[in-house]
Amino acid sequence: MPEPLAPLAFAAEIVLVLALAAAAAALLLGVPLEPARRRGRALVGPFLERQRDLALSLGLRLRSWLLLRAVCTAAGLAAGALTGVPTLTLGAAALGLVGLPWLLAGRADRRRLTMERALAGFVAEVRDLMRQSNLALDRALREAARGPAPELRHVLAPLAGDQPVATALTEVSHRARSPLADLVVTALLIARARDPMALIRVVDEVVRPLLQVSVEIQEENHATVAQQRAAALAIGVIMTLLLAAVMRVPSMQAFYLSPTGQLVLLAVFAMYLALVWAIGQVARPLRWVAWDIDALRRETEALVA
Amino acid sequence: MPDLTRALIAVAVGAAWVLVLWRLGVYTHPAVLSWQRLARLRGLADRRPLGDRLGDRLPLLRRARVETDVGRLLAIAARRESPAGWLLRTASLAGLALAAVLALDEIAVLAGQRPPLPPAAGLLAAACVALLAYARLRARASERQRALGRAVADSLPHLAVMTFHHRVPVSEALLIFARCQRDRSLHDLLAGDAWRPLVERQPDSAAQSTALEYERIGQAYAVPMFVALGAAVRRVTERGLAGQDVYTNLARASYGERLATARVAAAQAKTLIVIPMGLMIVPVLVLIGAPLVASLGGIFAR
Repeated sequence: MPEPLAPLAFAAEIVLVLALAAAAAALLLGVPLEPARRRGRALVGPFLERQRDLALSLGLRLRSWLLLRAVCTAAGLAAGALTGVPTLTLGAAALGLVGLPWLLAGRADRRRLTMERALAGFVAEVRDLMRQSNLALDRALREAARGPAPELRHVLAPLAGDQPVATALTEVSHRARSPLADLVVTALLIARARDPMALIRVVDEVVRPLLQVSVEIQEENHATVAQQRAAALAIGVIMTLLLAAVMRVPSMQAFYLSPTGQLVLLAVFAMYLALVWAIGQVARPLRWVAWDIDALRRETEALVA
Repeated sequence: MPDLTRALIAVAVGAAWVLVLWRLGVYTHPAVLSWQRLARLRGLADRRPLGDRLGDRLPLLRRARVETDVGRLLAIAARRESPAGWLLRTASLAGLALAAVLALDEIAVLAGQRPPLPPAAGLLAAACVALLAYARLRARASERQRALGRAVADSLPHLAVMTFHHRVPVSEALLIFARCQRDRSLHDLLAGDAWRPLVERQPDSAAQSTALEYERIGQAYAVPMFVALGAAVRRVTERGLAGQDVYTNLARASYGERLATARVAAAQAKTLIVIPMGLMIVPVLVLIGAPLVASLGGIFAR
């Protein structure tokens, strides 16, 4: 005997009408509706920026980096397809897609940290050239950029060229993609058109001490992220080895080829991802403000004018 | 047992009458009434709502009011909608969740089966939708508070450098740096006085100086860096200390604090990471145990 229909349908209709009325009233009160395109751009923008960061930190172009990721995804897909288990195929493809940047992010971070440490030395050299050799800032920058530390060669290349110093400094910031480089470049952009002695004081009293602290902050950030990455990697390796061992037992392989087994595999993947997420939440590295150096150059030029 | 309804109505009406007379000040001494009128005229009286005044005496109540103040959260999160609009939208989403559960039941009933979910599940779903909307709003507000704090803290070295080279007022310099940040939070707050509505909700909110403005913004938006910047501006403008020293020291202090936070995070990560590492045993057990459980289940089913 089915349940009586009328009360339930009546209640649902009343609730629906009330909900629609509330939505209409909210629209009348001016609740903003975010266009899907803008929301999509807000999601895609940071992702592409992150990829560009990673690619440049590894010394690659964005296109090469994306191609490398595509190749790794295809390799993961092919390796997974060899097992004949659909879930494992998808999992291996996902590993190829996500695992590569995750594995290489540590190397990129280390390279950036080395560059940031060298940057402190570069600032000290510029200051010494200004104080001891009595050079103007632009000249000191070009002199220091001609024989840079190996870690800074790519970053400082624009300063060694012929383009105007302000343009070269913004290019340095674009190449470095580091908050510490932004700090140095902005300080130099603000200070370059004024008294050289004041600039030496700025370097001594503001830029160098803050750069030192910033490098230490970056080191701590790097230590935190490296620990998290090592832990997630260890869990991943153990799970992969265990899965390989399990799949060698015929009865277990038969189970994991069945629909129930596929569901269990999906659940295990989900648990692994949840653990990696939890590891990331344990401690989050401190973030810095991203500067629009071109805008800052325009603003400082307007101030000087 | 006699009927007490009329007696209770009489007591309620009497109590309401006494309350109205009390509110009208009939029982108040004329001198006190005169003082209250004078204080009102001079702006000395506390004219805040009852909830705010009670909050001064009960910190827990104040905390609860602050946490559930949707208007404040919307202003901090830089959402343009009004509290009523947000409430109506949330109510509509919760109502849709409830209607969806009821409709599911209805379809099941139409198909001649028992409803898969009790109506209480619909209410639970609606409550979950409402709670999620509130949690999302709070998360956005917290994220914007962090972004504002970061934006001010990262502008401090530049402010310090600026004081060595250019004679630009701090408010203008901060606006320049806000324009140059990719995250527009600080610029959106400072440009066009977007901060005023929330700041002016506070008592005694009339700001006569940049320092006071920054302090009020810091208090209203719960961004300590703004309060610190306001105090620094006050030291420069009112006590005559050198801007170069004050802003440089503030920048150093804020970077030092950040370093301490990073060190604590790195140290905590070492120990806290053990928890998810230990929880790894769960997927391992599932991976090994699931085929065994399935085969045992098959044996018992036979």
